[in-house]
Amino acid sequence: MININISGASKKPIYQQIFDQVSGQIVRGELAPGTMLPPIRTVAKELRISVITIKKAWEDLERLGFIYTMVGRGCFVADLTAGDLMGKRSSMLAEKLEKDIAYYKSLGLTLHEIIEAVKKYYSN
Amino acid sequence: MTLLNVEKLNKSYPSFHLKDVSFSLDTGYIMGFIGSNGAGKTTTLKSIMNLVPKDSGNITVLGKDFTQNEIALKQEIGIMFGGVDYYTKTKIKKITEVVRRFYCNWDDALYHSYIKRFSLDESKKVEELSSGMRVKYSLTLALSHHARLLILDEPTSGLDPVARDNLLELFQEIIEDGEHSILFSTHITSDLEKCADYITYIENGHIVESREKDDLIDAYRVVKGTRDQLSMLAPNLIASKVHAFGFTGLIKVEDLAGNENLVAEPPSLEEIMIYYAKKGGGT
Amino acid sequence: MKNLLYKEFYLAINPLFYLLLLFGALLLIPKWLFFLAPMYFFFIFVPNIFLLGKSQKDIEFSVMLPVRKRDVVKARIVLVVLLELLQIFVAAVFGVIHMEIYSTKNFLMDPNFAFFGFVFMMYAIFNVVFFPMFYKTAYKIGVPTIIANAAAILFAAGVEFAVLAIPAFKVLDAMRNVPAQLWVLAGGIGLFALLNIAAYRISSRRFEHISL
Repeated sequence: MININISGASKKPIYQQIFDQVSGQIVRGELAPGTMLPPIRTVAKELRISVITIKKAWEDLERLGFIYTMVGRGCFVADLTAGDLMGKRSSMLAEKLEKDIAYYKSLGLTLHEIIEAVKKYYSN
Repeated sequence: MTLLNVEKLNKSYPSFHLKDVSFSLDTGYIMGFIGSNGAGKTTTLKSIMNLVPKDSGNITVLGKDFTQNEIALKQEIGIMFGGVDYYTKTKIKKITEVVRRFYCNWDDALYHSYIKRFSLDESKKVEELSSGMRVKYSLTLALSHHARLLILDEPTSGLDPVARDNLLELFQEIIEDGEHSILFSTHITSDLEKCADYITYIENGHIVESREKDDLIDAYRVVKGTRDQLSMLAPNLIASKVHAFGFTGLIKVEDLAGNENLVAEPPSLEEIMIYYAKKGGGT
Repeated sequence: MKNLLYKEFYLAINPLFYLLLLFGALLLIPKWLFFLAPMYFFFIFVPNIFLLGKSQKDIEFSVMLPVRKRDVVKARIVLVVLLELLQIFVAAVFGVIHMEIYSTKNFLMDPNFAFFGFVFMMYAIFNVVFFPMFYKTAYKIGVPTIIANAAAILFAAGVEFAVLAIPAFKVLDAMRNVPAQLWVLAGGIGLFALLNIAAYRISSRRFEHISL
């Protein structure tokens, strides 16, 4: 079963939150390939979020190959191979890391300091 | 499919003008119609329904010209201007008895299911209903004739937070089947932050923005910075507020280019409204 | 139209109002100013319907129904016209009784055929003044009522004066010249129809231009 929880306090746009959570569940294997996603309008009603927001998140998921649409039947979790999953995982990592590192750089941290900090917090 | 299309609507009063008001709403979505008091929300909605005669402009509903097909198209529309405040000394059963005759698609079973769901007591007079109940009765009438388009003027004003929440939930339920659309005006923008698909924003009689809510919010940033930065950025800002330690202002994303070092956050609808109103005020 | 009329009779009139039609029974008063009897209709009945409509926001309610603005005007005028016909009918019943039971001569005009012809005309004048004035604003009731009343009263006074004082009109009193009286009655009905149509035309055009 798909899990989505929206935070009103987060600065992340809602469709981004939805995308992150659903893609995360797919990458972690919590949503099995072929699982049917609930209809967009039902998700919108349940989450009390605009239909277009959900649509956008679903479109992004489809564009990046996490899900596919069968016309008239609905959206399904794509059948990703282990390789695909790894690839997706690293590209998601890269995207996030890029932003974070730019931020650390702006704080004047060196590569070494960043690595040390990552090590420290990873083991916590 | 376009359910409602408003094109270049104009209406002049001695002290107020609607200027080329245009927007359209597709089937299956909620559009929030926002603007400060007196910006022209009610006048626009009333002009759409021909309650206010327009000076010029075209209104089409389901692809047909509204003025030429008024009776038939009104069958497809549920209208509510500020809750039921008519025939307040009459029992709602009696009002329904009259209203139902006017609609060819009247659905008695559906009507009774809403009456039951909203715990409306048909033997009560309108004046005995709370404002929340009046809104619900009004919606019951609109939904029972299978209106495709609901035009609601300030349906949430005067409701407590719980009643408002119930109502918004109902709105989303109504559009779930993809066949219905809701156009509702409000000055309580928090009602729209989540549930609205589209936002049409009117200020001083003209439309500032009309587009998908997410895109609208995405197109603006609230920027914060020092007073020095303000002087540099000022020409690009829609409006700003200066305080002792710096400033906050609203800016279009494309005008932010080159100033990525500023603190910039997506605005709330309220912030967009406040800054535009400030701009309009000439301060 | 049928539905709007249903609304008018079902919601817009307090059932007690119908008792006002019994003012027609005033025609049984011997030697009276009979024009007063049908006048109660616009002294009391019409203002009350419109005041009730205003307090209950009848117009706001009606225009939201799947009808055109002019239909709302038409239904209201048809309602008043039907009530006027009913009032004339009730009064006529008592008029006939009056003519049957009293042999004494009335000083003023008798409730004969011509009288009812003039009543039709009086109502027509009231309507053609009142409705267009009212639908200019659709909420101001006082001034249109006063002016329309004044017009109708002046007309009635003129008729009384003519029948009493102008020799040519004397045939219209009592049962002197029934064919002439029937002509007046027919003329009254014709004018009533004509002026009501005019009242509707002007009123609806004015109402269309109102911002509700």
